[in-house]
Amino acid sequence: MAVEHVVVILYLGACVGIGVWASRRSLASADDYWVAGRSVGTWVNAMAIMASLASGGSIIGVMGLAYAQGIPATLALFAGAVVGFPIASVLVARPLRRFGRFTITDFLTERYPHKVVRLLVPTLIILSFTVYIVAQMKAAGITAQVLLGIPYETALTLATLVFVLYVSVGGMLAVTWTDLVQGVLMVAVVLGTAAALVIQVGSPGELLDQAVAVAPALGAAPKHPITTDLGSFVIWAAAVPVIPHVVMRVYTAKNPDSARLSLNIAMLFYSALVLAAVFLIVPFAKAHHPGLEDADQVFLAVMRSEFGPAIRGLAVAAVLAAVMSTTDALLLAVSSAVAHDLIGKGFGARVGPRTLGRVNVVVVWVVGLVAMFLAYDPPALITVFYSAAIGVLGASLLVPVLAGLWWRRANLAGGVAALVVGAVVYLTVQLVPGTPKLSAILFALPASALAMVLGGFFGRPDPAERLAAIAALHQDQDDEGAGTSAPAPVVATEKV
Amino acid sequence: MTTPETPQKVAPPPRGFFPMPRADLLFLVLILAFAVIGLLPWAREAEAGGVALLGWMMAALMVLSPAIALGRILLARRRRRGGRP
Repeated sequence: MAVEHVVVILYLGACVGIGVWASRRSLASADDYWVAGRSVGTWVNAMAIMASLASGGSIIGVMGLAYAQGIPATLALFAGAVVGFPIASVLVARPLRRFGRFTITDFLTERYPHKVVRLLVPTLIILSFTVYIVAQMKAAGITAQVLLGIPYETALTLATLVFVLYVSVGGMLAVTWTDLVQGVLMVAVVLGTAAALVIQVGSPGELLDQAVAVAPALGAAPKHPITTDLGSFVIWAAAVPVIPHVVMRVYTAKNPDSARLSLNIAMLFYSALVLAAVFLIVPFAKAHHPGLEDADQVFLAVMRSEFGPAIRGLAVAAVLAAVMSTTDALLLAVSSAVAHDLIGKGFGARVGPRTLGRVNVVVVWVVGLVAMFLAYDPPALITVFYSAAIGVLGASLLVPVLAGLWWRRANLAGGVAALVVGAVVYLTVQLVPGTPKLSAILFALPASALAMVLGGFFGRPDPAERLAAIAALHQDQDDEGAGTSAPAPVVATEKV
Repeated sequence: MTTPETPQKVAPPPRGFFPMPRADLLFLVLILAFAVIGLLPWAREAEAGGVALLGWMMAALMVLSPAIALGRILLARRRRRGGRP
């Protein structure tokens, strides 16, 4: 076990080192802490976006899901996430980058200045992301347990301490640079593993043929209702354009053009990762490791049986990288929801930047530790688990954001109604017994859109200056040279 | 403020959407149409190479949608740069 341990310790040490280095720069201003000074280049941002989205779910979970439910059902879910990025790059990236704040809540609270928005949006983010973090921690725990022989709880505790440490001290700069390292590691390990398996078997076609011959269900249409596939696709397609840790990446870009390029480059890498896992690694596992009790252990079973200690160490580091690169971005988004959105905006000038900084560090530690304790009793099939949690963000935020950016008639009444109705319908349908898995979004999104339309037509129109501020976000500008930190015109706020 | 003595015209509520480049709109419609076709029941029943068409179409969507979006952004950037003196 010595070699694996050394590789993992080196990797964890590098992450903490980057956090400490970044902390010297990141605490100079809010811009530096939350959005890395809005100075991240296209390729670094692309790899960071890819690493943020490619979670433990995208290595451990994608293979577990494909192993348990087949290739088509898995790709219906992950294609939704990929399609969400081009949608985000067309509909959201440019105007939001021009808007130039820190978080998705910033936009929503200025577009719809109401206390319900100010409180509900960060609350939904905190709840949803805490569940998401729990799923990531399970991936870290079982990986270290299976490949390093460390007890699950010990692995969970160590991983939590490392990423909580570097997020709390390093902010977005640390998260971006560790994500870059982690993204490269993930791509190298997953594509390298897939290539090695193809060489071993002969060709990708042979790999798939062998697996389908042994287990026809791998390629067959899913047995669950069509609404589950549709729902899983829509959850991710709807969530990605508004998901806070992705939106924060839009704000870190040097300019709107760079933001749009990063989003799409990231998705090409992400697609390569998922497709290699689903079409090459899982078929190999189906043929050589049929009947695994915990489907989420597919990758680990392949690594253990086919590779030596050094590669296994890299595999552990890659899975930890996937978990940590997502979890650190989630932690930063949650801490921004509490420190920046709830406390900063709620108490305004009464809380100084130094106090907010301390609050942020405390929040990162509290959320990290709460998620760690919840992960001691982990859920089955992590991808389904965290997709359901993410769905509430897509259901409640997508319509207010898109209508707020693009529909001239969108107003305060419509925005608040769409937000509340989307969240309430999603959670209600989710709890109704017998509802097909992941299908709640199919009810919640139309309901949210209807609420927006009714509010838009029957509510009081917004002040002209607010509409003018949104119109300014759509004016033709030279995006390559657009100011790197100049905020958009302030949207007028009103007390309700 | 409107009073009975001094009736004022209320500005009509704003209408429609902010303009979007036609190519962007077409791109969105195309990828969403492709996704809808891929998720319909027929794609679950038909198979190729032992995998339901649903799987192949979603895989194609995962590659094509970011690739086309990327190509469009780079093309627009080159056009903008070419237009400069």
